[in-house]
This record gives sequence, C-alpha cells and structure tokens, in this order.
Amino acid sequence: MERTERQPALYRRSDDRILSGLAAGIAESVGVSPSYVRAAFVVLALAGGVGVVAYLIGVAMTVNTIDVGNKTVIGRSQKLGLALMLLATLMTLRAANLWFGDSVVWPFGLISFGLAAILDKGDNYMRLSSRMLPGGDVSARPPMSRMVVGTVVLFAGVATFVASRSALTPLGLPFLAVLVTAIGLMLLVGPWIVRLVSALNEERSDRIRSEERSDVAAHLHDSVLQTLALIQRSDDPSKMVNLARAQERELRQWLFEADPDVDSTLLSTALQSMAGRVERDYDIRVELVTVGEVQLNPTLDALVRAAGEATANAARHSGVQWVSVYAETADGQVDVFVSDQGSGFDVSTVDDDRHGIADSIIGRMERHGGTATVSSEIDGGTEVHLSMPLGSDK
Amino acid sequence: MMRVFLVDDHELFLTGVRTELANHVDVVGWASDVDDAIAAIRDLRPEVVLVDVHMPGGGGLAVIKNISEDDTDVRFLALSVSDKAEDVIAMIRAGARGYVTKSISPADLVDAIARIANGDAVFSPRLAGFVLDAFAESAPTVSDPELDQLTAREREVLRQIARGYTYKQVASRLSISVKTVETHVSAVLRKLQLSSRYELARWASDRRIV
Repeated sequence: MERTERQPALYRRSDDRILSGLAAGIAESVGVSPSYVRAAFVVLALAGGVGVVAYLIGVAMTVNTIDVGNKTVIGRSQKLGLALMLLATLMTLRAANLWFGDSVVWPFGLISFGLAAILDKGDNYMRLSSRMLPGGDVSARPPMSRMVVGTVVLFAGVATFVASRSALTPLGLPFLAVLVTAIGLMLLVGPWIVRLVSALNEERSDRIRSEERSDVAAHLHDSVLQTLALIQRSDDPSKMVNLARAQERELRQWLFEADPDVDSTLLSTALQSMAGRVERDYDIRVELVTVGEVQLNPTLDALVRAAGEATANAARHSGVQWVSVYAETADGQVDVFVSDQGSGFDVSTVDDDRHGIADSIIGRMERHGGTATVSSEIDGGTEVHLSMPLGSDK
Repeated sequence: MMRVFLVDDHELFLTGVRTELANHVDVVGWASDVDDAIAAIRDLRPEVVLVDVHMPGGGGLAVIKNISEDDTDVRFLALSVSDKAEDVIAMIRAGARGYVTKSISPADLVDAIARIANGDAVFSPRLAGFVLDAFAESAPTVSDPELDQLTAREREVLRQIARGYTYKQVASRLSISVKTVETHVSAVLRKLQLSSRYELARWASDRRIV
C-alpha cells in the first residue's frame, strides 16, 4: 500500500493491537488514529479480499520490527489526501472487478468508518487540547461533533444495507430495522460502557485493597508495634515473656477470626475459644489438640464448660506453665483429657469446699449423662478425663 | 557432639536458637535462604538440619526435597510457627523426621535433635493429633492395609503424645519401654510418609485451623 513508503519504516505496535498491531503501526507512522486504518483494511478486505492480502503482506514485512514508535501528527489536508488515496484505490479495484458488489462494499464502508470515528479515542485531540482529565481513559471520549458525524455515517451505512436487502424480506423489514438499530446502538455505546464499567471495577478493587491494607496496618500498629515497644522498654524477662505470649495469642486470634470458613458451631472451635480464655485469664499456655469433629449441642456445651473448669483448675493449682487439652470424637462419644505435669494432689483428700471439681466438673458431666474421672498424684501431675456419649441429649 | 545446621530466614530467631543450642550441640553452620542452605548442607553434611517451613524461594520443603534426592544421611527436623496441618503434613511427607513448633523449650529442642540424630521420629502433640485425625476412619477400600492404617497400639501411643506426655511418660503409662514407644512412632512416621491414603492430602488441605 502507498502508506508503507512514508517514514519511518513500516512497523507494528505491540502495545496497541487488535490482531498484530500492524494497523496501529501504520496509523502511527502516518499520523492518524488506528481505528481509521483498521476500517480501511476491513473495506479493502470486502473489495475482493485485497485488504486481507495487503494485511498479510504487511505482517510478513514487519516480522522483526515490532516496536513502540514515536508519534507524528499530521495536518488536516494530509488526512484528506490519505482518504482520497484510499477512495482512489477502491475505485481502481472496482474497475478491475475485484469487488463483492456495490450493495456490500459501500454500506460496510460507511459502517466501518462511522464506527472508527466513534471508537477513535481521539488521542491527538486529547493530547493537543488540555482536556485530559486526571481520571484517565474513562473520560477520553471523542468530541461531540465527531460522535455525531460518526453516528450519522454509521446509520447511513446500516440504512443502505437494509434498503438493499429489503426487497428480499418485505415482511421482516420492521423487525430487521429494529434489530439493526439495536445493534447499531450497542456498537455505538457498548465499548464506552465496557470501558466505564471496567474502570469502575478496577477502581473499586483498588479501593478495597487499600482499605484492607490500612486495616491491617492499623491493627498491627495498635497491637504488635505497641507490644514490641513495651518489650524494648521492659527489663523484666518474665514480663517480656508474658507480653510476647499475650501478643502472640491476640495475633493468632485475629488471624483465626478473620477466616470466614471457621464454623462457630463446632466442638473444636468452642474448645479453641475456651483455651484462649484460660490462657488470657491465667497467663499460661494451653496446648489444645482436637481429633475428629462434631456439631455443638447443649450436652456438648456442658462438656466444654466442664473442660474449661478443669483447665482453669490446672492453671490455678498445678504451678506449671502449660496445660494440655486433648479432645477426641470417635465411636459415638467425645473424650476430653485435661492434663498438666504439675504438683498434683491427693484425690482422696480433696476438701468439700473445692466446688470446682465436685460441682462444675463431675456434677455437670453426670447431669448431662457423661462421666468425669480425676487422677492425680503428688508431684506426678493431674489428669481429668471427661467422657460424653453422643446422642444422649435429653 | 551432634553436628547441626540451622535454616531460618528470621535472623533474630536464628541467633536465639544458636545461643540456646551452643552448649549442647555443634552448630556447624546456618543459612537464611533456600539456595544457600542447599549448598552449605551438601558441603558440610551435618547430621541434623533444623529447617523453617516458610521461607522465600520455596521454603523448607524445597530444602528437604533437594537434599533428600542425593543424600539420605542428612536428617531434618521441621521447626515453624505454623501449626497448619497442610504445612506439617507436607514437611513430613517430603522427608522430615519430625515437626515441632518454635515455642518449644530449649531443653525439649535438644532432646528432639538427639532423637532425630538417632533415626527416631519426633511428634509434637499437635502432629500426633493430626495423624490420628487423618488416619481416623478405616476406609473400606484402603489399598495397602499395612501402610494405610494404624495399629491399635500405635493409636494408643499417639493419643498419649497428643495429651502432652513425653516419650518417657508414655512408656511408663502404657507399661512399655521407651524403645518400644520410639519404634511405634517411627512406624507411624513411615506410614505417614509412604501411605497413599488420599484422605491424607484432602484432610490436610481441608483443615484450616491456625
């Protein structure tokens, strides 16, 4: 094509492409919007396939010259010249009989260039005038005059096409007209709406991301950074350990609760929050291990409460830094073991005023159809075994 | 003294562990990223490697997989703040002989290293719980019952460990020798590493409790 002779060499643009970027490359070296070049190719393709051949030749010639070039802007008269050259080419092709027929080429020519005028993002206009808004591409619409001209040309093309076909389908004409108008409108505003929606989505997800980030930052600032500052100012190692442990617990809980998949009606979750409570209240470590899973019910609530009491007892009396809680759901029952490696006590000499064991643990378990066994020896640690059959809900 | 290598990307933690272990083992080296660790371990050939789970560049998993390919004498103990089942199970299946959390006391850590160096396995209560959970239902279509199921005795030993008892306490509670406890735990480790139970992978990924 005649355009290829202009400076610089023919190239393709990798950053603005529909197929290969050839049209954009040509458009840039010539200085017009890519949409027009694309329209020209479409019309030429209808002219007996010349456009397809030209396009393929163009691609073949530019295999190694894909680049992002610099932009030249040309004047109005040059653009007119280019348009006339295209027209001349088409006339020549028509004379040479490389043609699908006037009723196809002219309507589609009008439609293509109407669309090009509308879809053209108007880079040159935007760049030359100061109408570029800070929001970016959303507002990059062609000026109103060009929209109007483009629309008129587009509809003229559609109308020509419909008119040329109407002889074949006299009954379907109104329907066809409505359909064509609808498609025309869609083509007209569709791309703009798509651009608008995707820009909005992008903005929204950006905003959500930045909100999440600032939430996390705020939380870390209020918790972890404060604690680290306190630890640096503290001389007492045991105090440091307590601070660190409390912070670790809080951070884990925060991460844990942020997980939407956690089901609060499960036994393991209830035990988890029980363990967290005891850790917080008594400043010891509770090592919780659960095996199997079951939905909570009033009976199991009682079991969790009894386990909490046993764990708190261990925290209060054992004199060690950690308590183990092991819960297993299997064979139609739930077993919970609360063990510590602490001072222990003589089970037979428990005072009556130790309501903790008598009422809160053994009594509670038996009221709900379960059992509780306490085994302990002096300096040998203590283990409380709670067992609750499933399906004994009364 | 046992020759130990440390891999962790937290400088502070690395320094802390090095100080704690200094009197008990011979810390021959340390690394804070995956590539350095692999090169140094090949070079130094330590007996036991303490390896962190989460690190840039593939984490502890990459270290274990790379070394285990060509050197089966180096043994790994995974050490992490993460209690997530998928991390724990993945490390063990890659070849780690044990898994402990970073809150472990220095004395317990030295014990664990000695046990690993002897070729035994180290299960934290949490890991024992995971194994019991993963091997819970005896699926009717297990392909290899020897590998895909735990024996009653193994189950009992794991339960005791999950309840927080040391190997020694487990032995005396079940009236067996410590050696027998170690044998049972090693057998479980082998099953954990070799079993094709599909539940294992699925269970680990379903389980998301921190």
